[in-house]
Amino acid sequence: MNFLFYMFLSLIFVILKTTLMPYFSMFDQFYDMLIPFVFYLGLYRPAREGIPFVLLLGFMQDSLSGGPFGIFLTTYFWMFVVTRWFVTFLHAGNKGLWLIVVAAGVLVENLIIIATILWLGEASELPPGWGDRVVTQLLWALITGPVLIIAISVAHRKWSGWASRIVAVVKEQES
Amino acid sequence: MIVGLVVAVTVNIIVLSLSTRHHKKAYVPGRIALAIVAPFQKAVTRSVRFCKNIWSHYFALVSVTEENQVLKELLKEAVQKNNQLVEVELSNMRLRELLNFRKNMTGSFIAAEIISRDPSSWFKAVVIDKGQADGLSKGQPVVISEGIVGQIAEASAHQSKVLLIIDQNSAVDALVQRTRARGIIEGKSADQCFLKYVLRKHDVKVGDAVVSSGLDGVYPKGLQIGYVSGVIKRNSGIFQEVAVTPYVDFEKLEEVLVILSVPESVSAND
Repeated sequence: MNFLFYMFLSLIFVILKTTLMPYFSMFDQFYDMLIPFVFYLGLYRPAREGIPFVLLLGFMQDSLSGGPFGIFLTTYFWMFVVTRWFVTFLHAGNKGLWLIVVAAGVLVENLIIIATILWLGEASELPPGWGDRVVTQLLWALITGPVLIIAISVAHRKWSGWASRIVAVVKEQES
Repeated sequence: MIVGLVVAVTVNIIVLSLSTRHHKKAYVPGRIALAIVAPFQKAVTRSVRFCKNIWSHYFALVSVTEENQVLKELLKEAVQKNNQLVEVELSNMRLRELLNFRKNMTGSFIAAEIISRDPSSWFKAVVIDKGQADGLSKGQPVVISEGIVGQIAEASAHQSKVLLIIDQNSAVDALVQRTRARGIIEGKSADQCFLKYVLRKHDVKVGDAVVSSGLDGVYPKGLQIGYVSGVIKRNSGIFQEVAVTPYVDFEKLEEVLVILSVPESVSAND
């Protein structure tokens, strides 16, 4: 059931980012919407549940992107691992953490992309306006990141409640 | 008794006949009565009419409200339909352009629709709704009537990823149409490319058209790419920097043509 929820939610985020948002110029420099989701998985879900799905997300994004294959896989995997490591000595329920965690993730993703372009790719320089792009993404992340994590958390709770009710009804009918 | 009755009837007949003859004359008592009674009559009549109007208006308003709701719904539907028709008209125009473009080109093509864009703002790629099942494969050029869009970077069964020419990993062998100066078009940003490796000695001016040379083995010769929007000749170096603005508006891209095969005649050799 959880896996279904993750699939459903990630599909919504991917469709939003690749199909709907391009129609609105204000979202031209919006950050990768799966970052808050990866953090959510890292903060609140066990590794056995999170890692396969994070890899699946990375694979999906890499398949859709025109960039070198593996950028998103790398980004998501390490984000998840670092988040899991952080919650060993930081309280995951700390709302202050939410404020910066998405922005930090966006920064990390951009750094990985920049490093890939400069050192692994054939480009000798970054495309013009790269600084503005990163700053805009960070601002978006600071404003909307915590909201997205809260929304994911609430949606997951509702989904779990709804799913457990369905399971109970099915068991009742079977007995 | 009988005599009295006869007299009364006779008098009555005489009075009636007299009043019949002079019925157009107004009598003062009649006028007074009229003056006294008429205002009351008027008031009552108006009151009745007022009530009648309120009654009829109330019902009329109820029906008008209902009619208003119906009309609003109809208007909404009409606006929606109008929007759909505008979309169809625009789509029709775009497809006609593609069709005209296709008529002027040789070789086999397939039209495709863009279904999504790159999830990252760092890379410039789109996904189209045609794939290997439709005869698409990696490396095929993608164009529209305005010019080159990009090339197929990856093809699955029913979808393909198109690397746009504005992506930094894209390269197109190109010519300045007027002077035949050669260079490589590389992507830089959403609205600009650079024509690299153009020798300083070559004459390149702002406004010059840039077309594909056909030497890269991907794009047929002579396809429009863009126009020169800036030329920088530095003090040193053997090349000049040429900025090129693509003819294609990548923000508004919706339908594209994939060139499946280019006839032998359309090659770098002609």
